[in-house]
Amino acid sequence: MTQIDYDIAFGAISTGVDEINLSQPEGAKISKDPDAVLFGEDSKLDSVGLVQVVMAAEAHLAEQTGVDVVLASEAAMSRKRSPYRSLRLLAEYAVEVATEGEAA
Amino acid sequence: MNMSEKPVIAITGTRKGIGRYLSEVFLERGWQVVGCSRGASDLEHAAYDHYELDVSDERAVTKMMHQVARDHGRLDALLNNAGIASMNHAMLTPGSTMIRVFQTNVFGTFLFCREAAKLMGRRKYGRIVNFATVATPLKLEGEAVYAASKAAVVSLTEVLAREFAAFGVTVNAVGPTPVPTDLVGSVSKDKMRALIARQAIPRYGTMEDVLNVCDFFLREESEFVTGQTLYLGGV
Repeated sequence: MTQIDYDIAFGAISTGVDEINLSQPEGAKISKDPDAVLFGEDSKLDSVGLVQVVMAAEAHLAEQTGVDVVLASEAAMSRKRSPYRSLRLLAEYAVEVATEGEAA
Repeated sequence: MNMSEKPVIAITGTRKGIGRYLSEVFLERGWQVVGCSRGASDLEHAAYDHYELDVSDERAVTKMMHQVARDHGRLDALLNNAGIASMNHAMLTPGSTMIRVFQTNVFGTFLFCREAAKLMGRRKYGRIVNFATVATPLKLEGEAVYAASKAAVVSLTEVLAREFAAFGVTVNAVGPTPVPTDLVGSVSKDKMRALIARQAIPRYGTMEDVLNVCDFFLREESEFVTGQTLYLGGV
């Protein structure tokens, strides 16, 4: 089992985004800029698209690190606190969830 | 990730009763069966994996489903069979009973639906069958907590059916009448007779009756059937 740090989390999430982008039409592909808006105003993703990204991110994190994380969040729809606003926040959230899991 | 050639079905509550029966049937049919219960299982078969867990333990459920992904690479179906009952007058029922029943019947069902749908969604195909009960529409006295927990399962089934449709996953529920298992073993025969008399077809249900409904929901041709609860016995 590999410890999850930001770079590992971001890498796994990026792989998930690559996978989703394979089936996205040109113009609707998800940016891999860590600070681009992932979900929220001006986002190309609807809620189903966000679920797909999160599902792929969890699966790649589990595959690459052996760590089972659930990236569900009560704050999903919050503009200020949502971990789904950008890939950077999602990767940071994954590290936070994985760390909590280790402590439990 | 290895992809099993066999269809893979997850069944909760497989140590005994209906869950055990359903596991044996799907193993005979050549499926890979992944089961779980709070205790160990004596079901031994090359195509059966058993996990000891509490279905309301979020971490354990997540871990199990990720392991299913690693081992088999797919999940075709989920039967959310695990359940516990409580038969008691509401005024004599402690709050702790309500928590325990809701944890297994509602939280467990939700967690397995959520994690199964993630795995199913990757292949855009999946069939989920939840377990309701005729105690809900019959509004049975003495089963307030159990009936309410299963009403929540029906509601989850209806909403999840809509949320999971985009991922090719159907979500339905079967509502069995009493089937002679441990779950109804503690109820008096008189009470059971009175309950069965309220069915259109007044007899105990059988495990085959439950399987028949599961089979219908699981068929590939049932892709347009979702969000439904099918009660047995004409209730």
